[in-house]
Amino acid sequence: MELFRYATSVYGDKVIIGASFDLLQWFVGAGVAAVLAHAIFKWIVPSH
Amino acid sequence: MIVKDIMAPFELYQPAQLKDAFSLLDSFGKDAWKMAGGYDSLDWFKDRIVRPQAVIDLTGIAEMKGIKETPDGVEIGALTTLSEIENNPIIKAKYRLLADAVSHVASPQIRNHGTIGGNASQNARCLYFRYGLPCYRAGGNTCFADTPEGINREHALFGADRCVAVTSSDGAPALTALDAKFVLQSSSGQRVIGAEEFFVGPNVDILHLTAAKPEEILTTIRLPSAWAGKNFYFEKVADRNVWDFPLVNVAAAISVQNGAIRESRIVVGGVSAVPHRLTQVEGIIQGKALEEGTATLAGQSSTRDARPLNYNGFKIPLMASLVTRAVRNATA
Amino acid sequence: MSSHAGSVQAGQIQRHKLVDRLYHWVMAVCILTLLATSLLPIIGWKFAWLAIHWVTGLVLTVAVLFHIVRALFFQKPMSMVVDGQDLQNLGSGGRPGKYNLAQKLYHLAIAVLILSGIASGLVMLRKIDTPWWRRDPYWFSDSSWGVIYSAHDFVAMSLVTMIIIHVYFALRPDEWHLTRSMFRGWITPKEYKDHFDPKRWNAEEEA
Ligand SMILES: Cc1cc2nc3c(=O)[nH]c(=O)nc-3n(C[C@H](O)[C@H](O)[C@H](O)COP(=O)(O)OP(=O)(O)OC[C@H]3O[C@@H](n4cnc5c(N)ncnc54)[C@H](O)[C@@H]3O)c2cc1C
Ligand code: HEM
Repeated sequence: MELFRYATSVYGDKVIIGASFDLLQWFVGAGVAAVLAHAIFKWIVPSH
Repeated sequence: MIVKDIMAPFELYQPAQLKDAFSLLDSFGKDAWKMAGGYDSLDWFKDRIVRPQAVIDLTGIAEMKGIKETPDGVEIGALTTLSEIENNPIIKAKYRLLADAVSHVASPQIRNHGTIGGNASQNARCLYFRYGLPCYRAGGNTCFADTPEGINREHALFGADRCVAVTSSDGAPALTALDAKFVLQSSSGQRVIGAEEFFVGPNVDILHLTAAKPEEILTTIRLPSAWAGKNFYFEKVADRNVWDFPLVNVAAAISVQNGAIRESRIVVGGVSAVPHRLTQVEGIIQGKALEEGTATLAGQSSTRDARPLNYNGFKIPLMASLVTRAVRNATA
Repeated sequence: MSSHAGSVQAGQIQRHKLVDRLYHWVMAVCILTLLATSLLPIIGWKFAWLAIHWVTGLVLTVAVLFHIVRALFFQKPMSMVVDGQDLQNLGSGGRPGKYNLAQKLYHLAIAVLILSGIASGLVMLRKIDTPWWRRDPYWFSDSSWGVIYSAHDFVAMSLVTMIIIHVYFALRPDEWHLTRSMFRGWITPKEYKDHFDPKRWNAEEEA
């Protein structure tokens, strides 16, 4: 999976044109994972 | 180095049934390319700008071919060739507008093999886009045509949003004027949408000219009976009389009652990414006598919101006179 | 009755003035609109997004400028800065001031993201036609534009992660006093006593 979107410029060079939006699912996953990790932690170790 | 004129390898699939085509589309996803007559597709392959993994040649699917009358109008299979439409007696008798429009496409050879589905779905002909530059339509973040030095003689007067490419289809304005309905099918069902939804501008989708999703096939185009046998007019202006895309074309369907315009559809191609329907002009001329003054008024009011680029200002008077001629000369 | 700009009633410890709550919600609506307008079309829900997007972007820019001026000159900016006590509390479990360490770190991250989104977005405005100017793609080279677009895109995707986390904390019952205070502006004296260190957050003086 690529981090960026690339294209060939007018001059024939490979240029970055933006981030790869295929990564979006990973960003959503990271948010969900953080939430789950915290929820599980709080469930196992209840605060006083 | 950009290699031209040599296709990159791909796997060719030739399904004989729609359901097989759907399962191929489902399994290859974005790596699949639907091909009908191939007149648009092969350009992309030969220029190596599009390199699909799998090409799904639809032309073996018999259920997508032919023209038949229904109680509500007529159904045209998306694989029906432009020549068949041009010469079909039902179309000629009831929807002459479409027969006229497709008879102006390219050359007889292309019309003999090119399909109405492909004609309506064909991609933009902007030379920067076709050359493979990373423009907005190609997924990049620049428009090369709308720059101070950009050659934009063939580009949009209306509805530009970052991308200024236009629809180059002669069939699309006629289908829009006839209130055509587009039947899109996929393995998960079918949806039927009107022209205003089927053709999409860059403000909604800068990468595609139609609303067809990768997994969907345009199977049928339905023409409702409402416009059958009305007064029609089609005219196209191109740099060459044959084998050339329109600079501007106009398709009009006008319903006349007692010498007055009861209802009309006037649609202009080559001036926007979508067939540009002149809803305001239709409103202005509704109820007016079908006479020279009305035609002139239609032409004059048709270009009011035009935003010309550096080199396409000539399209404004051209469009105005085509609209005038359409209203003046539409005949049954 | 809710408290309005500074007026605190008995039994209510003011936490956020009306103007700050308004800022929070304006920003929230802007960010959600910016995310929805940009990302929904990318994941397949197509609509005419760009005009709503950049106009919302300008509203957000003005709102954030307002917030910066207000926070720096009319509020206590240090209350949002991580200090030694926050780190010591990590071990000892001591109570925080107005904002705890997690909130301060979250604020820092979101501030960096939003400011980067605004900075890249304002530059990208030059690439499109607006009522004030025709687009000009020549401001930067292709590759510099690519970097700017990438920054904007990564901000967008990171904000999705951040918002998921933010909403989760706002919905947690043990944080409800904070969430409620972003609606009505105040917390109860008991909540104040239970959750905060009055030496580090002198609510009375602030009110
Ligand atoms: C030299 C030349 C001159 C031309 N001049 C004109 C002209 O004057 N006027 C004009 O209108 N056109 C013109 N064209 C375009 C031509 O008419 C179209 O390319 C042709 O009609 C497309 O039909 P096709 O069946 O060959 O399409 P294809 O190339 O097979 O397909 C075109 C596009 O439509 C998609 N597609 C095709 N069928 C379906 C379907 N059933 N469902 C979903 N997607 C589909 C394909 O994936 C592809 O993206 C010209 C083309 C050439 C090469
Ligand atoms: C902080 C929240 C913001 C988010 C999440 C966000 C998200 C996005 C995304 C994902 C894109 C698509 C970019 C691409 O195609 O690579 C985009 C485009 C754009 N954004 Fe934002 N944006 C934000 C703020 C802003 C602001 C503040 C502005 C300006 C005022 C702005 C102006 C633009 C413009 C003009 C584009 C289109 C550029 C183009 O297509 O050439 N954005 N935004």
